Amino acid sequence: MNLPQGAFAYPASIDAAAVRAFATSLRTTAERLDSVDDTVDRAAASARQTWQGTAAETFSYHMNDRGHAFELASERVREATRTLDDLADAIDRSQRAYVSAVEAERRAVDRGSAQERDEAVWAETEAVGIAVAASFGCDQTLTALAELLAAYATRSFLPVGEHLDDVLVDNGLAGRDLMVDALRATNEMERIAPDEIQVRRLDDGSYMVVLPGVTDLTDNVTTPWNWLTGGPQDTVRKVANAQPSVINGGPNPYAEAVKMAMQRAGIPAGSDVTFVGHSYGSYTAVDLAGDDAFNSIDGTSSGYNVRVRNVMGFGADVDWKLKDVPAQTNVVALNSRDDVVYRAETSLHPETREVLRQALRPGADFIPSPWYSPATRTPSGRPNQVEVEINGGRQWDKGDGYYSGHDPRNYARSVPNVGDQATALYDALGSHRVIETYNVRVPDGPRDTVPPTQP
Amino acid sequence: MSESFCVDPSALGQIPSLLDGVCQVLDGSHSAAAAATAAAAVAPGFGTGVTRFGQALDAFVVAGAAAIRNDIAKLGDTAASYQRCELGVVRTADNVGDQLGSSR
Repeated sequence: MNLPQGAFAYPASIDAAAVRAFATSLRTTAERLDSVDDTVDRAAASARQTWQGTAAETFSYHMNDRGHAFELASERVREATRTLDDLADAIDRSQRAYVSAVEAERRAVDRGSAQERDEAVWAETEAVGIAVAASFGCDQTLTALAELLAAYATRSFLPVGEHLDDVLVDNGLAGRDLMVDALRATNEMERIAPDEIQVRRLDDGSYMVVLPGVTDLTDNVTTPWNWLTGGPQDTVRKVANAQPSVINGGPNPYAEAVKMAMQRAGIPAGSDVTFVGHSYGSYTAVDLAGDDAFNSIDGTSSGYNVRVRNVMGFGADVDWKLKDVPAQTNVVALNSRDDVVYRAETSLHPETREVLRQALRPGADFIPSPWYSPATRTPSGRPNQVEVEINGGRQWDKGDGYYSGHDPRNYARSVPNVGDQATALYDALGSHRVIETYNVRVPDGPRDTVPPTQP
Repeated sequence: MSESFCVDPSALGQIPSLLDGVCQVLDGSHSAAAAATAAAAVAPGFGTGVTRFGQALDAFVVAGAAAIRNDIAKLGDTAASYQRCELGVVRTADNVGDQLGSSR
């Protein structure tokens, strides 16, 4: 549009027609997404009519979930079109106001009124400002909508090629067996990649979130400086990030990444969650359970939050952190005396220093050691929060025998032999089955530093 | 092992073609990034968000089509397993599980 130009120039690029053209193309896309949603829903209905049983229910569930994602995307696209229409209208108003101001400027010049001219030029400035402000606001809205679209795709479409498989091959695991399977998954990169965590939606509406440990514990033996710098890995799950939390309760980037990933995975705020964590994943689970803002099981929270119902940790000396965990959250921290990583961590932690201080005090008549302490302890004083020490053994035939005591498979084998108190807490996981399993990325890159808006 | 059975294998076999139509619609729908690029230069303060939205919409559509195609492949395997069963009506999960397991 060619506007008459005043003393304050109107940017030539501001063009309502281009904005409306984009909105029109998006309306077409929204209609297609609606059509896709309808067809996918018909497929789900058809499957229910011709096919019955668990596999059919799973397929229909998936179709409905995918259809819902298309429906939500359509709504967001229509929201974008409304925002763009508003912008186009604002540009029209801006240009009409600008033309009026230019005419006023010309009349003022004809009359030789400097004051009126100044006022007219100021009005030109304000007119341009209307379009610029509307453009900025529209851009912000579209940025937020883009985040939502990405969240829907992650929740309902990714990881492509594995999502449906994971659900359809659900072998009926429930409760404690499901937890053990989750623990084993922390050791298998084909199930959970180095930059991922795993989310399992259960049939009671709760979620199991699987948090593997670090990816570079043994990889960097020959390049130990990577334990400090993080090396080249694009994952938050690295020793360099673990050290502050593991050693003295410092910041935990993994925990922050998990919060964002859980939102991105579509876990609704207020959901009941069970964390299954190994090593750094166990520390992270306890850190999240002890996060007042995040764990709302005690009724307090701020921002995105879930009810951390259970923490099932393995291979991590987390007992000294349990004082921060709400009483309503169940915790079983299973640790092996044959796990050199756990034993090294134990020597760093305050309760060990306290044990030694007590042992060395004048008059002490025994020398206690955390390695010979009772098998089950309640560090927080609450019976539903226990640390269990076992003799988990090692797998010397696995090639990394010295570290194999830390292996999740070792811990998985030990789960049936953890004593009554921990067994009761494992059994409290109930008999809920998984109905959906999917992985979510927890990268370390800057692109994921902004949490998405909750879908 | 849970039970699963098919009451109409031929009807089940038609679902993939239904979903294939979905993929074709989606394949023709990822031009938002290009349209966004055209709109991105209209005003100062406008561009980053509109570009991201166009890219996110295209990525959503592409991911959706890929997921549906994956479903079609798995469903095709499943329907074929039912149709190969001579009794044709009721099958147990052992059969389904074997078939799906072999398709991983």
